Amino acid sequence: MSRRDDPVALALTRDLLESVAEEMAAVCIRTAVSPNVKDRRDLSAAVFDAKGVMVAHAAHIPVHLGAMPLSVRAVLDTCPLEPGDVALVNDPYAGGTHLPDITAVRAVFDPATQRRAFLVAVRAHHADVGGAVPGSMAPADDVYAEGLRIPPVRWVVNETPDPGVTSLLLSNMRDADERRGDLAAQAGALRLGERRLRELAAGAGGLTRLARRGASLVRYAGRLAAAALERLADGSAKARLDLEVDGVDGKPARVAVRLTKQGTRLTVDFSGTTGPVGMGLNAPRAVTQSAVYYFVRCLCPDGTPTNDGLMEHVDVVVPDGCLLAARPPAPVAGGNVETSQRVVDALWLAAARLWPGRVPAPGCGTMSNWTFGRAPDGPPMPSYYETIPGGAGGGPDGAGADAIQQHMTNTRGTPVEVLEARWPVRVERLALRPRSGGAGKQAGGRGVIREVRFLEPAVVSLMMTRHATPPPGVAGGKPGRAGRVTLVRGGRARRLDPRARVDIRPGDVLRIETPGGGGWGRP
Amino acid sequence: MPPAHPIRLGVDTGGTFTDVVWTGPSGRGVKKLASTPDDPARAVLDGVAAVTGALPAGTPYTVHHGTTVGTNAVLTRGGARVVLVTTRGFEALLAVGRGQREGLHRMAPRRVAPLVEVANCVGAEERMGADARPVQSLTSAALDRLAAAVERRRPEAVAVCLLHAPRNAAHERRIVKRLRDVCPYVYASAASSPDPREVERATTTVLDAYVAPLVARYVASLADALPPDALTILRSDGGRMAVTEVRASPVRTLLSGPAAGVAAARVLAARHGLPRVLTFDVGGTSTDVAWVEGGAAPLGSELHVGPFAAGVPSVPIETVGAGGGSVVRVDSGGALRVGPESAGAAPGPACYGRGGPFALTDAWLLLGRIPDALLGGDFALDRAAARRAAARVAKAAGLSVPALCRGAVAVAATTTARALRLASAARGHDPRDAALLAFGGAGPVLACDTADQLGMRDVLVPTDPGTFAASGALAAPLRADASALAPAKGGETALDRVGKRLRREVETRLLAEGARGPLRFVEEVDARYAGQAFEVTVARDGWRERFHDRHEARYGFADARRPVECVRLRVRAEGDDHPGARPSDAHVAAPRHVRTRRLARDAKGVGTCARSTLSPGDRVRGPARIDEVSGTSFVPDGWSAVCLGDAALRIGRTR
Repeated sequence: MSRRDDPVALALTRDLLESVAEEMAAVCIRTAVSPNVKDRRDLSAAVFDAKGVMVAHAAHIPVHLGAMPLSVRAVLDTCPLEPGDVALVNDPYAGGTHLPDITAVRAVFDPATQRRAFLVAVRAHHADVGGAVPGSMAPADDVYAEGLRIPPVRWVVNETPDPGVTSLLLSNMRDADERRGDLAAQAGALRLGERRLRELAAGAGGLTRLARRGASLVRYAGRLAAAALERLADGSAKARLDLEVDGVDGKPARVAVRLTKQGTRLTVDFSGTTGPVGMGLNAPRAVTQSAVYYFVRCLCPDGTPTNDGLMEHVDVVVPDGCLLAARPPAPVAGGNVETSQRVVDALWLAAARLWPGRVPAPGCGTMSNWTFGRAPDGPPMPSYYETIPGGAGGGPDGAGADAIQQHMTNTRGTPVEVLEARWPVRVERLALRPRSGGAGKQAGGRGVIREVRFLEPAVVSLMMTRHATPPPGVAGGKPGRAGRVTLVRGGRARRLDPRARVDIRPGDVLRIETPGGGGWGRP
Repeated sequence: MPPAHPIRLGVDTGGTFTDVVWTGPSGRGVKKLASTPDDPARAVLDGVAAVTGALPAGTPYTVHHGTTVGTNAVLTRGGARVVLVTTRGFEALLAVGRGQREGLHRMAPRRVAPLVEVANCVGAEERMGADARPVQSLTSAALDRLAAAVERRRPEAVAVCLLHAPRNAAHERRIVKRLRDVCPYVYASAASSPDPREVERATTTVLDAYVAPLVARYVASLADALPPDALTILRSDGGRMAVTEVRASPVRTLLSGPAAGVAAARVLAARHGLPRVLTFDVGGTSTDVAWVEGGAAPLGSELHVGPFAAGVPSVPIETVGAGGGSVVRVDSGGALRVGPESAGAAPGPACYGRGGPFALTDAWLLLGRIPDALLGGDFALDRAAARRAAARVAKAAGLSVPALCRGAVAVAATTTARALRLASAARGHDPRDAALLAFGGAGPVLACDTADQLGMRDVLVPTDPGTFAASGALAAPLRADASALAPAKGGETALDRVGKRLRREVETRLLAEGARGPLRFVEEVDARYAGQAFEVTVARDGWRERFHDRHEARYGFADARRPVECVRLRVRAEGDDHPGARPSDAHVAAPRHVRTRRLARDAKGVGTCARSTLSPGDRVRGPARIDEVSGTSFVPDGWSAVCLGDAALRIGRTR
């Protein structure tokens, strides 16, 4: 147990630093241009101490949680920041998760010591970062085909964006104006974050002292996590789930995890997880770390701050070379969105075995990502990206929710009317998928059915899992129904591979059925 | 001979008290009554009778009322049984919504259950396209089938929301016409809010239907008991509407109460020549904050009630779960927490003597920031109970009781400051450019600490802060608004045509509601760069240029070469039903001579005085407590309060 912090100072520091993160996120949302940031709110903002320990985070997207600190540390390692500089990074092999998530980082210097006191970062999902297919989310053979890889690079130098870097970035991405606007929004949010920290520091005895108070927040989260862990039974349990693809060695890929809880300590060991896979389903370490981070946060009471203190009592073991510690140049677009969900499912399942009666069954386990954009022979259209919700697992507190974004994401769906006004499509149906939730004492929630008719040629890419193996039930509950994508062309229906690129002709109807959640307890 | 100007009464219903403020040729007055939650109309009518009973018989009067009947119905889920009609294939519109969950980190993801369950959603066999042309027409046979399906569900109210109805509402209109035979309360989405986002529009329409029977009955029961045409209801945008309009759009009453507070703030800000104020209305369980600029509250295009958002114009109010009743405790990580749990009105804070937990009000009492009895002595507080409750929490925190109390105040100030900062950031404002206008029972107790957190130097406290919202009801003009999607073709001429139609529509409505004299019109457009997914609202006149300027100001860039499109046209009109007797917003000059009043000070050095003993120009140095019936103002050390010409207090830093 760490030393006691003053309860009042703790509460004040928390409000101050979290309000900086919140304000950065609010300004980024207000000033961004793309629907993905502005309306779907696919972004996160956080405040770090001088060494890159995350002290405050504005919660929007859980998959950014554990990844933000790694991105910031990658910048610290390779890209010296001076006052007024902003670095960018999206490289999954240098603290990134997948290429569309670009993190902007700025250092805040204490004028008294001339040293770095804080770092601030804003991460946003850009709707396109180049690559072979619009939307930069399509299955690819390697990371190079997925889009532009940005290692930590100084983009803004002393408040002025480097024209060369800007031009290099924008020349390699579709919808350059939108990219420019969103990057500017990220930089503006960081500027505001720095200004706020300076103002707060004025009333708190300087930046360096404020940073020390920030460290107390990390200890605070650590104590909350320890208290939560202490209340849970000691023991060990494991879970193993298929990823639905074959590894590059030709054998079925799977995620394995063993949870061991002893006192206030939790070990999460991914030994037994198989090696690299195709289809972009490899997860960089940052993604694996995020999934564990999220899991631990879910074990803590409401109101627990999300900062690096959560992980103080947790050991994560990810064997080198497994699919959860991807190595270049393995493709990773789907690791962030799909494999991350499978990792959480495995954690959930192991937890349900370790602490029976406390943990719900896994939910749909996929973000059901799909993108579409301009076909080589079709009319121009912007890239479209969407995740479709599915059913949640039943649990001790009730049936699983229907049609809901789960675990590592929480973005908003695009309105049908906006979609149809901007893209040449007509949505024909949006329904809860009957009988898709697993039966149980508490049933799993239902997935959805979304049918979209295309009026022009387009290229669709799908990135979904849980189409071959349904979400499992727990404690005698039945599994939910697996997902399914069907293409109806000229009256004939054909089932599609859930991770594929599809050339669409006018009149085609794409029917996406997302999985239901697993049931909990004997029906 | 009755006076030419009738007496005006402003009535605001709160959870604990119903406030009546009146003004007429002979002056003004205030009346505070206990609310009657089982039948809110009773306290309202009793309050009105108490004021008007003292007038000569036959004196004309009007009642401007801010009601929470609709809001409470939504928050307690006590509204009507609603059937929602959607385009067939989209019956799950609300069940899927935008797919988001509440709270990111929960073992079992949850979302707010929609106000209509999916079994009560019925699909209409029709489809409009995004180009406003029918893809599938609505046949009369389909209409009959639909009416039968709706009737089978025995709705108390019906909401109709068809895809692309704001582009072409023909199908919606036919359905509404037909369903009026089935149910007296039928609402069409294009009329409720022509928002081109179906989930938000359906939510607005459902809210209309959900509160309609209750609100209509409530308003009718008041209207029946009052003289003809005497009653008008506050709108969420700070205007007023006639009883007939309430039934047409009950959703517009949902923020009736808080909007009245903002309307009052507008008048006070104008009177003191303050270009920008942030309102700070602290109640028992929560704090409402809003920006008022240039004498007007900028209108937001959304109204929030609990977890729901309705797409109707509203004063943009942010609410944070911290108020006088907020529970103070130490959590398992060793941090002091203030709220969001509240002691509520029952049992209330420990000092209410009913076994309640240690709450912010107890900390104020123990620090001497509020008197030992509230409401002018009518409501005695139990200091010993407060100290016992404080001692328990202090032990857990490892703090002395005074340190705990000071800490609780500091945490409450930081928490409310965080809400103000966020409300400002989301609008691109800096709180330091504004004065903090504190009201509500507890606003003036906390205001200076919160202002300090934000670097704000000016706090303004009106007289009678506890009934300030009711006084706003007096100031509110009659208002009506209408909007429509801009025509896809035809340019400015087509836009003009739509503008004229909307003007005629609001003019007709406003005149029917009793507005006289010249009406004031405001015409605005929601515009965006072609292809963008969000809009910026600017004045209609010269809107293209204004759009670029506004975009530059808000987002830091503009591109004059990029095509701009107009998405939606909005028209708003205001008028007055009775001339005169409105609270004056004439400028009140700062007192020319300021003299410091010496106060009796207690053992801790805190001075106390009654507000009624202060005259314009009197200055009180902190630490000091200024008591009045409906609220206490606390002036911390290093601050001083000056009594202004209209008896409002201006509290500022002296060092």
